[in-house]
Amino acid sequence: MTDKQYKTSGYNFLFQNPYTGEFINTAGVPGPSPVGGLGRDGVLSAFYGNPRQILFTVGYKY
Amino acid sequence: MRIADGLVVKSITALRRDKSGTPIDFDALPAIDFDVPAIYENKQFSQEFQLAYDRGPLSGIIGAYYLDAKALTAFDVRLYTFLPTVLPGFTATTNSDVDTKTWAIFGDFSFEFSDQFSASVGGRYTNDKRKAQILRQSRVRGGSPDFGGIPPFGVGTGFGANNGITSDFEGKRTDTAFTPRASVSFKPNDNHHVYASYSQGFKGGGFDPRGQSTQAPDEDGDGDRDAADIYEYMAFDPEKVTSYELGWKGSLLDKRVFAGVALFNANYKDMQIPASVGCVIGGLPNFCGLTSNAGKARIRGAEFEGNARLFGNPRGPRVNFAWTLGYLDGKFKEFRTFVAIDRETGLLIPIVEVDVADDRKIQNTPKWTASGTLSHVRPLAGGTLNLSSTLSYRSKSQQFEIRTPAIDQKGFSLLDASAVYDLPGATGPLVSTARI
Repeated sequence: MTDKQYKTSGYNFLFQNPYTGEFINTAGVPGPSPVGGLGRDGVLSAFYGNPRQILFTVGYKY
Repeated sequence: MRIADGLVVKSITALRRDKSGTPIDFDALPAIDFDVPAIYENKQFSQEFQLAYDRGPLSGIIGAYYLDAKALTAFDVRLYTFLPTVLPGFTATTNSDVDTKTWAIFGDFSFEFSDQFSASVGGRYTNDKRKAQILRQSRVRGGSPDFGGIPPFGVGTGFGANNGITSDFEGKRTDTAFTPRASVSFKPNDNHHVYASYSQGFKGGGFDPRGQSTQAPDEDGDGDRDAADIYEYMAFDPEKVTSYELGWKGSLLDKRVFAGVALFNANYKDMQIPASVGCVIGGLPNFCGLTSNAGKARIRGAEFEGNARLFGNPRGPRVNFAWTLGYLDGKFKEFRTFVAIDRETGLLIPIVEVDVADDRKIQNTPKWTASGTLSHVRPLAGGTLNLSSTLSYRSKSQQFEIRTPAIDQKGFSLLDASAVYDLPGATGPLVSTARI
């Protein structure tokens, strides 16, 4: 009802510092995007849960 | 089939075949850059026999189980934007077959000492055989024949030495385990039930169908990457878990309140962690599976749930409140992995094995979850109206074992509401529901 945005899953193919998880480039240095990884620009995707939905259902028992 | 008084034989046979295709466009852009068409094909046959015994205070079941399964994974990683003039239509392809043959024998017996006390013990012996063939190849001017081409490219041709084959792995393994369980139960009266249980679990080892053999580090430290190092890298070991649970279920206040409490602790050994990352094979980009075993992990927690009738009577207008509250304390106690970054300076170093248990968290394991549902049920015009609203909360959690900025979700709450009306009569329109 509150139309809350929340992430349910994701993909990451950017390089990360193996301790902190911070994104790094191929030299190991923290950097702004794009920062290494697979694909020309690197890939970081997040998938969100459903937005506000109003559902009407009618059932019939026979 | 009943073969004697209190003795029943049951046979369960299952056959399953499926084939599915999933085109994943990881970069979500029109360019053919990190586009991954994939095919998964499964064939499974299983047979189970059970012999159930139920006579007086003793009841039990013994049985045997057999499964023969084949899983095929084929996928292209199409990187047509990578050096397009030198390597037009560059694609990294993977084709793997993992075969499983597993059998198990099991038994489980319960004994009622009295109306109040009962106990049960059981066990399972599992033999798990797995065989894998994993072939990876670099191609130019298009992808593998499994997926055909996209203009201007067709089916690609192998690029580089050995017709572009970068990794050709074959391996097999057999894992066996005996996993016992036991529980005791006490029902002092109709309103209370207290129980305690102990169980062991086992998930067989295997091979990552996306693994790249040339990524193997020198795991045994003898100065080279030999067959033993490659096997160690491509394989993952069985995961074992030992868990304990103590709980109470019951009703209070003349059955106006039903509730349950459970406390549990699970110790994992060699927890299996699936992962895949971007990697570089012979100077060319690729996609590498990295399924491995974290050393040790522990998940302990508590759950409290129930429902209560606040007002009204069970058959008339009433207001109910239902709740759940969960606490999970998950922690890696050992997580060994290979890294090429220095912890202090963040600079590149030669690959070393380290324990990163304190830097990792168990994925999708929020410390707190809670929900409360308030509902009102009342007869209306001969039918029944049910109005209900739920507020739920989930504290922050990580998508992966490693913290990943921008993907990990902070704590959040959701609010739902619904109205359901059951029309009068045993048949006819049953419900009209509105949910927000």
